[in-house]
Amino acid sequence: MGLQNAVLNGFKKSLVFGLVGVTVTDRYAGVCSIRGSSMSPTFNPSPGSFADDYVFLEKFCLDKYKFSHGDVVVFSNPINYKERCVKRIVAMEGDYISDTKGAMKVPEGHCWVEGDNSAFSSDSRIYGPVPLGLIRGRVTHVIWPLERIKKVDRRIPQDRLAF
Amino acid sequence: MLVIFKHLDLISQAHLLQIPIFRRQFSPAPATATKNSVSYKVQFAGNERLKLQPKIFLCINMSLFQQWAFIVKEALDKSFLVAKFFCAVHVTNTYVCSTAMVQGPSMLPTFNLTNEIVLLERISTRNGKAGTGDVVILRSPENPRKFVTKRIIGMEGDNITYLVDPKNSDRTETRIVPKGHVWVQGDNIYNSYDSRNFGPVPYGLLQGKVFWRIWPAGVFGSIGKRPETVDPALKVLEQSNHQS
Repeated sequence: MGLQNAVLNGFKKSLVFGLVGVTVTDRYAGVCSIRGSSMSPTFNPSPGSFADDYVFLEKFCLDKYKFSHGDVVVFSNPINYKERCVKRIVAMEGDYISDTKGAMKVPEGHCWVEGDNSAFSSDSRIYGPVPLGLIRGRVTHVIWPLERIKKVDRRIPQDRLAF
Repeated sequence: MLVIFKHLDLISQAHLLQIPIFRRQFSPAPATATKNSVSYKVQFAGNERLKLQPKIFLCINMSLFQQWAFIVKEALDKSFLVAKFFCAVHVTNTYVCSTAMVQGPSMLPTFNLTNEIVLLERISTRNGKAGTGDVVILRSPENPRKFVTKRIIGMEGDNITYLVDPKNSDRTETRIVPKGHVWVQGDNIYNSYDSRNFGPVPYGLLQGKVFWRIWPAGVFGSIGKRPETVDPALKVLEQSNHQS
């Protein structure tokens, strides 16, 4: 009798905790792990290490979709919606990006993303500009490993824009 | 008559034992009333020989601090309840089912020009089960804060032949839908801004599948998989799209 009550109580508490956790992660902030070296040295600077970096995301930016050049964002991969990618915004809508084929204008409602480690990054140079609606959050801090806790700054690479 | 000593979680204990506490039955006892305390006497309706838990019998004079603490605790409990309700609503709207208001001419005759309220379910789009013929709500690729309602005409890998500008010419174009994308068109191709203008849409932009219309009440019912099109030229195109 007491055990049944305790189990029921535990179940209810974990359900409430789950609901609140999901809501907070969807609307306000969350944590996610970074895999791969496409954003070295900002994340995962040593390719041979076993532990992945964990970063802190904020979701308040999804209210107005106001992003700037240099923001590191997490978005659904346009090629495979189940995957999430994390890259840096290099150009916003209306900018001209210098490509191998010349200068290309980033269409309205899209952004051009590139990884910090250009050699190992599959980004907008492969799948084109990314619609802003795919973005799921903005990375603000690295929170693991502890010796590299720092704020992720907006770094604007000057040589990618056509003018 | 039984005098109850008021305790901070008396309310919860009372619910457990189903003792109704009627505040209007409380009357200040003049003999024991002091300047900063209130005393209560409670009259039980019915059976007075109740087996009460010992912890309910406590101090009868509630000091001002205890009253304040009681009020604050009740306020916190109520706001936690509201927060939990809000979280439950959010989870249901985002992961299970939600409502939306659709308007505009691009989905005639399926949806009328004026506002209509529909139910959309989020499970199919999240699991990748939304397919050709489904009416979906998606974020516009040109403005992430705008939602548009269109029908999926083709999935990745399909060859789509479409009329580029049916109001002015009969020119058709054919495109292959790239991996991870879908081709959406409004049912009213003469007045619809869709994939013929902004190209194939990544699957991640789909928000939900419309499956039921709940307002206006006259056309309450499910939304079918085929556009109710009568234009014979469009029927030919549709058949060629389905065969390829």
